Amino acid sequence: MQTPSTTKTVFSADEISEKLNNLSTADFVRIRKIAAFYGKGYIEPDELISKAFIAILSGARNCPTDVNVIAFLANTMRSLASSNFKSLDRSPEFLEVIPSIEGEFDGLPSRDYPSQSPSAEETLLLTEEIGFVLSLFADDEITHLIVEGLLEGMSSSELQELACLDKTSYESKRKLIRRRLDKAKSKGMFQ
Amino acid sequence: MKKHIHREMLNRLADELVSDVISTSDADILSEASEDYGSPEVAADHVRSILKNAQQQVAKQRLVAAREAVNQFKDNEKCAKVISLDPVRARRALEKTLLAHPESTRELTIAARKGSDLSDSDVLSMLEDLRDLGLYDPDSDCEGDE
Repeated sequence: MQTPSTTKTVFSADEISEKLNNLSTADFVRIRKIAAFYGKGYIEPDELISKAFIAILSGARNCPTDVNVIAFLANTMRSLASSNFKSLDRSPEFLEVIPSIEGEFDGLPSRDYPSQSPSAEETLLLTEEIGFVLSLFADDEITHLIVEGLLEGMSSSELQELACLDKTSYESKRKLIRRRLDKAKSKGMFQ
Repeated sequence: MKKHIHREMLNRLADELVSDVISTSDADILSEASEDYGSPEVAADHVRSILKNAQQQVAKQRLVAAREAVNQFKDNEKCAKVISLDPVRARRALEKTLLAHPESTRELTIAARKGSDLSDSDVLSMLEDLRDLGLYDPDSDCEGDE
């Protein structure tokens, strides 16, 4: 008797290329919306989409056949955006520079040393962004609570319980949050 | 570390909103696209063109990789031909090459030039050196023998 295979099958390069070509108009719109959420100023959404397509088409990231392609693309974009953020974090231009002490002699030309502390300006921008996101929901106590909870890492079921919402009402609040952020982004109110 | 904490907070919010994008019906997504981008087709075509560029870029990368693989294969084949020569043929090839290039091979030791004092592996190794110098071509040698 044959034992079932435990290895996950993945789409070949040609199969995934075909699969992407045949995505619906709605799916292409979804990809654009997802990139806007994960890009967030550190990488342009279009560049993020391009990098994700290249990673999948080149086989750097293999999409399992039993996984929704859009969900897989979303995961790839999240991971690429996160890697991009980390690499920017390590690049010299993102490090604060502390000039060497004038006149100090160590037998070598004067040097600048990168500091290990994160950029204060960047931290401030992120704090402002969080503040701005929360201010968008100041008129709605429940929605504000959900946004706060999500930022703190609470799960959807925990939030439903906390806000006394059933699944449908929670999902409708979640959509309201997304649409308000979509509109604020399209107006250039934040990245 | 505050920066990373804030970034992670925004990522958690994004994760939940992306889940919403994925679970929203096609009809609602298309209607949103009309509102956000003017029309769903305009929004989708923008992403389609990014996909097309990515496909072209990957195809070019594959072509370059394939060319490199072919070149590598050819190089390996050349090496394999020298190594797989039987001792008699190898000594004949070495003698022929030394005679054909007396100026270039002048600096080789007398033992090497005599050939008979060399071990079989020395002969093969010398042929490889001569091939690397462009003085011995295993392909033409094989063709000549056959």
